[in-house]
Amino acid sequence: MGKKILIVDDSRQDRKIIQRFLHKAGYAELALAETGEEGVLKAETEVPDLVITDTKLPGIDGFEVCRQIKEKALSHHPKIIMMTGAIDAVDAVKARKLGADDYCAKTSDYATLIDAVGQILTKEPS
Amino acid sequence: MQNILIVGGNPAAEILIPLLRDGGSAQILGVVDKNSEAPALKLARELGIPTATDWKDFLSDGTLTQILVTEEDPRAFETLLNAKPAQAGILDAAAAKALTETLQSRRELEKSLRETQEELSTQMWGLQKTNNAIKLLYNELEEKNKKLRELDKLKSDFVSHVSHELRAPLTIIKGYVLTLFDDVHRATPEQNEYVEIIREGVDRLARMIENLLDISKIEAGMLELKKAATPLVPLAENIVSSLRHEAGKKNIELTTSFPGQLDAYVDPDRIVQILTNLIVNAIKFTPENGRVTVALSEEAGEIRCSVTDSGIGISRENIAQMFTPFKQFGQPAGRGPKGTGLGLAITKELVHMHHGKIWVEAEPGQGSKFIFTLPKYTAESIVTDNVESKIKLAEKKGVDVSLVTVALNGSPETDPVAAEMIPALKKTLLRPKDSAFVNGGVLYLLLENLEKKDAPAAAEKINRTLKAFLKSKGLPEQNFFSLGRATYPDDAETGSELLAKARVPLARDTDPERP
Repeated sequence: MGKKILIVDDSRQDRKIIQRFLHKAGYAELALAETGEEGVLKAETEVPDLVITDTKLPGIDGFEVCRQIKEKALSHHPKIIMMTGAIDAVDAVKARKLGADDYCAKTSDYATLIDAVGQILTKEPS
Repeated sequence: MQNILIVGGNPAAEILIPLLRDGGSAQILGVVDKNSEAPALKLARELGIPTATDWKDFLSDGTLTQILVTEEDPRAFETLLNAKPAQAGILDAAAAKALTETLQSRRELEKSLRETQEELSTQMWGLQKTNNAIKLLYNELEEKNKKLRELDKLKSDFVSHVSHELRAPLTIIKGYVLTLFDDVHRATPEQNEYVEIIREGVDRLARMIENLLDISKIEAGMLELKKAATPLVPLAENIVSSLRHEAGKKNIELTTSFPGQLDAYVDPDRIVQILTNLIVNAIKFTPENGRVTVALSEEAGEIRCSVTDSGIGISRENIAQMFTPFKQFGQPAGRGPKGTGLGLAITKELVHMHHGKIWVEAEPGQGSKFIFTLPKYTAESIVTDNVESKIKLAEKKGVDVSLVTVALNGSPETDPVAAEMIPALKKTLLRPKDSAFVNGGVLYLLLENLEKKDAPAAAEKINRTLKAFLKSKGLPEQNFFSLGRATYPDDAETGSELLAKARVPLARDTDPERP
């Protein structure tokens, strides 16, 4: 598919699992970031098509990551999916207003996340 | 869509041109002014709108619907009215300004409406995302719950199965060890001591297995209480005297404080188990020459039973875990019967099954006091209890229960007659799983797995059987009894509701034998 995805999550375990699920779904090019700051930086340097960020992160949180990436108005226009272990309608609206393309819950099988990734990456003309 | 001709190239026209052009509801056919260099005409030319120096050129255009005159030129106005059926209006600079303001505020309104709509759709988006996630997580939770329940059942089955399997070999070991023990005169003192140790170990294992079986039965909801009106004082006295010997070994003074009479509606075997457990514990944790007191009383409408000791007491943090399975605190060192760690857990469950409460009051070094309560019973509470436990059981089995009441004309004096009816009904109608009891001149029949639609026929059968019964006894049949019936869950959601409905006598004219 040739799409590159950046995963921003402070949990090593979660990063590994998301990586594995994305690999299985056919996304080979993956980049990882442990903190929000690293995520914002790599959103520029790694030129990903999509950034998946957890809402809760040490340092700047996922909302701030989303805001900063959108603010930079990068030429490759990375899409952003915010995922969370604590689902909240107020957070969902906040994410949308900050420019997130999707907001989904972390479930044990990450099925919703993979679905969302598929939808967002096929919508965009390659 | 309005097709507009603007006549007069003054500043009002300059404002109107872009407004009309961007407004979307009108199209400017042309702008006219005598002066071809008027600013409005220049603007129109820039925007690609046709211009002219004589407005009459446009009047032949059939699509023209409105003419706006931005100059106060009555002559032009009159000509317009006569020339075209189109609407015409004069717009001077002030009117143009007012129009501009109206248009602007309309545009602002539209903008804020658009913004509100956007905000709404963002909120909707958020709600939808959240909703989807909640649905998903709920399903996941449900799935996990199901698995947990299955695991829990597996665990209970396993415990119950293993306990049963362990029982058989243990019985063999115990039997043979006891046989050995009987022949102690042939053994050396050393061998004798070993046998004693083995015996203690085997006893403990046997107790533990019995306890495990009890716990697994309670957890599976399979432990049924055989409740009966029970005089508590003789029951407690029996337990105390059977444990006097045990207390005497440590020179513990075992005293009682019992009222003259105190009855409870309980399963006597289980109350023996509860009390024995508490008293044995108290003796175990009380040092030599101590004191254990067993008290029964009636307080605040409930029966209260307490076992107080002068033992080692319990620390505050351990009190909270006293009734948790396998939690053991301050086991006395050395030889002697060891606990299984299940006794208090079972005791608590048994008290709860009796709708009672159990707790402990203790301080380290100050002794402990275990207290449990049992509800006072009335004739009514026994009936309710019976009905409710039947409903519970039926729910577990997934079947209906019909309750038929037979109210005898009279009062408790007719109880013996009602009681005699039960064997008569057992012959014709009652099945082993049905229950029947008499209380206060009323015969209650709880018919398991009898659906509402079959209840009238059953009631009729009961009616006929009872009439025949009364006849055979030479008792007056006329108006001697009345029937009532209700079915769970069709007619009632709770035991008390079922009772209330089943107590309403059926209308007499439903009796086919009556003219």
